[in-house]
Amino acid sequence: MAGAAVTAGALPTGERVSGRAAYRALARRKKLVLAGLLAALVASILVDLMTGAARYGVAEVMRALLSPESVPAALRVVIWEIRLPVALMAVVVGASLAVAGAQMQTILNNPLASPFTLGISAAASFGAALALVLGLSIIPIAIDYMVPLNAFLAAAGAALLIHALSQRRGVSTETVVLLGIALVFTFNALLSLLQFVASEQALGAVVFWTMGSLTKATWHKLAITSAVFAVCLPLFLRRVWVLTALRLGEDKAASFGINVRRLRLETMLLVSLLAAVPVSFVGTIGFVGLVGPHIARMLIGEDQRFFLPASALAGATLLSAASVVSKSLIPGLTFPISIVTALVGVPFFFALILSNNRRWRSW
Amino acid sequence: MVTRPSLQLRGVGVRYGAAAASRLALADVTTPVFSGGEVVAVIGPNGAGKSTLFRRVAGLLGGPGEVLVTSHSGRPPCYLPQDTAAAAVLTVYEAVLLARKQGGRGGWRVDDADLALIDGVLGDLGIAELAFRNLAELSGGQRQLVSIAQVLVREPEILLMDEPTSALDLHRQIEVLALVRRLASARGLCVLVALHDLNHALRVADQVMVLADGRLVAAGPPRDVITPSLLEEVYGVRARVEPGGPGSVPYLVVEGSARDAAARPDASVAYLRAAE
Repeated sequence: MAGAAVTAGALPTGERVSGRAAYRALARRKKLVLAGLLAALVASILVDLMTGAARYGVAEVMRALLSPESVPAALRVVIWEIRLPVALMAVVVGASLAVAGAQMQTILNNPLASPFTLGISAAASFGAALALVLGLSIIPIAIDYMVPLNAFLAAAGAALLIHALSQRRGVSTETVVLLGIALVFTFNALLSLLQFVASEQALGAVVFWTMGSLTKATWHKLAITSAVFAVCLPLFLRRVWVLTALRLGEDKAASFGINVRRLRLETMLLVSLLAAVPVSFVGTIGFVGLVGPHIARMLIGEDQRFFLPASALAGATLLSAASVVSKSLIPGLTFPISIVTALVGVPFFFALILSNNRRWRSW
Repeated sequence: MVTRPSLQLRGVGVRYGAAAASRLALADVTTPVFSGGEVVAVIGPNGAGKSTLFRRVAGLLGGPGEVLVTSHSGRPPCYLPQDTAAAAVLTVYEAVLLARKQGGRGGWRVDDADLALIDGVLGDLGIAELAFRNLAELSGGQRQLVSIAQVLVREPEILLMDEPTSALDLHRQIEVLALVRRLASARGLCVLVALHDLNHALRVADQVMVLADGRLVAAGPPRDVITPSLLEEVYGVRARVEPGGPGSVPYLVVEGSARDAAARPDASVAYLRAAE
């Protein structure tokens, strides 16, 4: 550096260009990884559509999708009315939960943050049970929307509580996780209380909640969940640079001129919406929100221009694959998907943690 | 005529804590007008209020008084906080690009001009070979150089650097400060830099501000301000300032602690004996 000019030109031209060229190559590689994830997702959706009580081939499924009139009515109904809403619900719910988890991990600066581990899913379940068991609505609304709305309000309340506590002076990231665990226990206890007093019929509905399942997905529920995702994702995409900067530490982010408090609050609100709405339709599904972002981070790093879509794709692919597994374990029987995500997700998660990966260990 | 950046503080203070129990961490700091091309060293013992002053000038803390800033771009001063480790899974290049893209500069697009600037800055700081290492793999000193790169790519006009060389080896300290000196002269930057090593202040600074207990106790050219009597008063250190040869800068020779010499002449030795 001694004697180097302040502006470009001090080093040999070759070296100057190589940084730029290497960065472009890195960005290309990341785009390829995204394309690979997308291909995996599409493949998983196809397999999901092929799998079930009746097995279909790729050609049949493709024909049913592309020209529904040309296939037998039975196939058309199975694909369009039964399997497609479920398959797409898996995609949207997986993507929503993974993006919610990714941003919780970002703003709380904590690798263990996810809607499930911090009690937001548990709160949503409690909110839903409140409507199912007691018919109580947090704000009065039509009965059809009472369950999802209650779930959302409870989830948002939990998210804001976590946010408020994490903003207090001297609260470490470890403390936030402990507070989240306390919330999980609290809401689970409240849920048990409701189950204890519930009627037989309401109990069944509540159990459905605690064991998330995609089987009741409809086009209508899919539309609402997709709409929420479609609203939240662009709001995150607009903030990619500031959200990435937050991972450099609060001081550094503030020195870049970022209003850290406001960014955290806005993100937490969006996250609670993203986490609560899917939970309100399909029940509690764990691990996707935790593992999805970790897979994305390992594959692609934390530049949110790539990390955010990668998290969404990883979450969607995970849940779609879990949907296939839930139908394949015992032919003719569909397991609740949350059982599959936990049983498949946990060993996978262990493998991630224990694998000798430096990127992973930097957390 | 391009506006030359300038910075002046008038009666600037910072209050910490709730209203009733509040105390002034910084009080009534008034400075001359510092302008583009000047390097201003901010010196003072630990806890004197140097970081608080930087945060106040950067607009991260509120308080009484006025921070008067003129700059060509109209952007606020660019602040380099004291170094903290970050666990982000990013390469050095991405982390520096990230700094460049703050403030909505150009949206998602990364154009060649951005990348050329980053290559130039990494080269100037001698860390081009670290460009594609992960942040988590860097040493403290390397991280500090990356942080410096992050402020330089933002093309600051007024630059606030809080102990930018604290983790660097002697060679790097000299090089980084020489780079800052050249940037100030060549591009008309106005630089406020907190330093602990007063010899660096004597070598690179045009002006020195001395803070103690949240107050400005002296300001002016380094040769006038850094004197044996000030060092004894502010730092409690016995030292002399050697004038240096023709064409070279004065330097400081520290002889010992004025406090220990007065109170307990052999205190440290006695402590060592006790430890044995």
